[in-house]
Amino acid sequence: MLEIQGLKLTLGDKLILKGLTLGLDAGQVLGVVGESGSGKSMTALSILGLPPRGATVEGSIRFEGRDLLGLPDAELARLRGDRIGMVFQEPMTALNPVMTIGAQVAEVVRLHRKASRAEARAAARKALDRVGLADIPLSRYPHELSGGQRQRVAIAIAVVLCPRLLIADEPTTALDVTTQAHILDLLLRLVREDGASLILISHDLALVAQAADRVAVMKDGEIVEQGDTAALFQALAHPYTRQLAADAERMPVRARKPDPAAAPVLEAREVVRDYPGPRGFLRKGAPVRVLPGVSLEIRPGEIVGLVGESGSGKSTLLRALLALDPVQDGEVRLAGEVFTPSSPRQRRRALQLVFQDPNGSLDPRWTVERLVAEPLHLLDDKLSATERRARVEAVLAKVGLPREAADRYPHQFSGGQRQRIAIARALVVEPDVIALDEAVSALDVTVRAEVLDLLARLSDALGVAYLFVTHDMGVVRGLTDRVLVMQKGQIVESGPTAEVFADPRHPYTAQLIAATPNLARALAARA
Amino acid sequence: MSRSRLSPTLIIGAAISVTFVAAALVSLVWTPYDVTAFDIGHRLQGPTAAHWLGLDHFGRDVASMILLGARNALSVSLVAVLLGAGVGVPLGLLAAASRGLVDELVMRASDVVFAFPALILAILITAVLGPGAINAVIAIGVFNVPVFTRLTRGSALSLWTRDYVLAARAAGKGPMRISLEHIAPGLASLLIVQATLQFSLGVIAEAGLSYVGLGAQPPAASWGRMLADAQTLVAVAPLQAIFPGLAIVITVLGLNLLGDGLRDRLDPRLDEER
Repeated sequence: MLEIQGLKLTLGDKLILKGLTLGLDAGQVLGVVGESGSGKSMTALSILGLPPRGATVEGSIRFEGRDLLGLPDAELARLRGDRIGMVFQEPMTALNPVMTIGAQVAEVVRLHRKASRAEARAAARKALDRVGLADIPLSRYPHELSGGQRQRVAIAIAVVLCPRLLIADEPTTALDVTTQAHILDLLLRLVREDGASLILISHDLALVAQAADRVAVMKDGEIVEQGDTAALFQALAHPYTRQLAADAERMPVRARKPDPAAAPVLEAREVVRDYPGPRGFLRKGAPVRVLPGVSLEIRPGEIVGLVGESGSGKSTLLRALLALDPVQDGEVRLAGEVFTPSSPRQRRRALQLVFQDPNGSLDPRWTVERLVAEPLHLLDDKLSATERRARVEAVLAKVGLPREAADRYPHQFSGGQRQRIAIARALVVEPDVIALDEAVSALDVTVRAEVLDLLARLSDALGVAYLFVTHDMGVVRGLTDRVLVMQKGQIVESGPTAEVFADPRHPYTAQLIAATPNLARALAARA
Repeated sequence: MSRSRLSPTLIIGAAISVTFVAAALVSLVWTPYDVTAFDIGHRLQGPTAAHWLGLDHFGRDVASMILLGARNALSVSLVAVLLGAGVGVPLGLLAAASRGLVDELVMRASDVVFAFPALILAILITAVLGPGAINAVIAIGVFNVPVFTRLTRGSALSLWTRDYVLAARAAGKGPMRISLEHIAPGLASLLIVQATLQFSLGVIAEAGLSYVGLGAQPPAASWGRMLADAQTLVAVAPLQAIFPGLAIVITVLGLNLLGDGLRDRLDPRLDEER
């Protein structure tokens, strides 16, 4: 049904797709996996006839017997939304914020069919019912919905005319784990019901293994391997595929075990955190309680995972622990002393922070030396320029970066290297605890495995404890000693990681574990 | 960056602006004729080889007057922009850094200043303080302040949500230090663009104030004053109004083109469209 041959895409003088050949039968699900920059999304956009401005596309894309590359724009526009549907990664930006969801679904119907307003509305209602939004009125706006609901609206727009081909580009990446599983099931169910084909683009090997009939592995604008899912993962014939599979599963080995009897280095006792309520004219609304009283302890050298979905209060707890926000009740103790926003700044030295997105957490106008040295501000004694430089170089060496890196700017590094810079910044003051907020979520599998190795090594060598805030159960299982599961502002389960995973007590924990794509499990289910 | 480095807008705008500044600087050391020397015999004479732009109603050389007017326009609007930015930017940074009551006070105060039409406010200020170049500077500077305050606060608020600011806070830096080290440098390009546009508004405002007699006082030359003098004679000597008028139009156009060109090059908000 879809036949791509020798697809080449050049942007400027750069060859981005280097001659792809891909085939897809009616009713099939094709998974496309690869790292960021491998050309997955470009392939999808080429099929839709929407390559970036200034790009030249060669080769052929035959869809239902016609070559899409030869078609004029008006013809392509008629196909898009009608015969070919598309679901993007980020539903908030893919939906129009000033149009009701009903109007956005109905618009597609009115564009492609001679339908009256009422018929289009009826079709929109039916499509929204199909994607599980039966109790959401058509008159809602995107901002009134949750992330998962928004993605369902985006899917409704894509499937309202029952397209023969659906392309989903990382459709679940921006969503919570449990929502991810639901959205994936929904996509698969819809294409099965309509007898349509699905191209599922993802960086997540396990997710593709779980959902796709056929898999294509992309690297640097080429397909290095493709075939039936079970056979491909059984054989792992191509070294790159083998490496991807290994990196997805690989977890660092740790030599040092924390002492369970040691006094906690970071401790929260019944921490209560309120947000100010919605503000009226000249008055404040009733405060909203986000954390009703949370306690946790982290011992020296321990790696603790804090998992939960967005809105569970993870970030709020983290900000309270870091004393960036005041707490309303209870207390945070760092290295045995009470830690509040007004504590002397020297006390902050013991607790440092690494963020999810190294692009956003490094000031683009600062050199690496200045960035890494920023927390040195917390030390009592002022360092001379040469002493400062020496410390920066030493800590860069610890995270595996050359000393010349100090003179460069963040944009001159890759994503993984930037995260190393962020880790170096946290390490430079020799903290007792580092809080990592989704610190590996934005990284490709191979880079992620390297950064996790680095973190484990540093913990072994320096005895630093980590608080790993994440939604990725795979990382939690591989790296942490203990796990805390958070839901609606409360820690609903905590215990040694192995025990929690083997025998989750709380239903929510069980749900999180079951929803996480797992390569071994996906392949076992196939066999 | 795929955008061309130098757009025609930027080149033309920069060329006019440089000419303007050069004219003002040249007038410091040299003008074709001494404008305090009256040649009453040849008053209102048209352009000649000796006097390229002719003589005015007192018999002063118009070309020299235009050069001196450029100096006056440049100094008044430059100082007014510096005054506006000098007060407005710190206020905006302060409002963004402190939120709460201070933010409310600063923003409501700037609302009040904004509520008056700029030129009317300037006339009010000069009417109270008396006419003169320095009071014109203060008047124009005052209505520049809220422009910079708002722009700074709005953009600073979005920078405050960046992770690197949170990182700096976790590194124990206070709001003032973060404002100086992380926020202000991030706003620099935006402020340069706005300053250029305010500069051109300043030239118009200075001409307007001098036109109604509240700007630079004689014997200092000013384009607005030249226009006012020429107005009564427009039926007899139309060229008298055309030259200072052209000077204002070309200068303002050039500064606006420069501002737009700089915006295309520097404004980080346009970068996201790449």
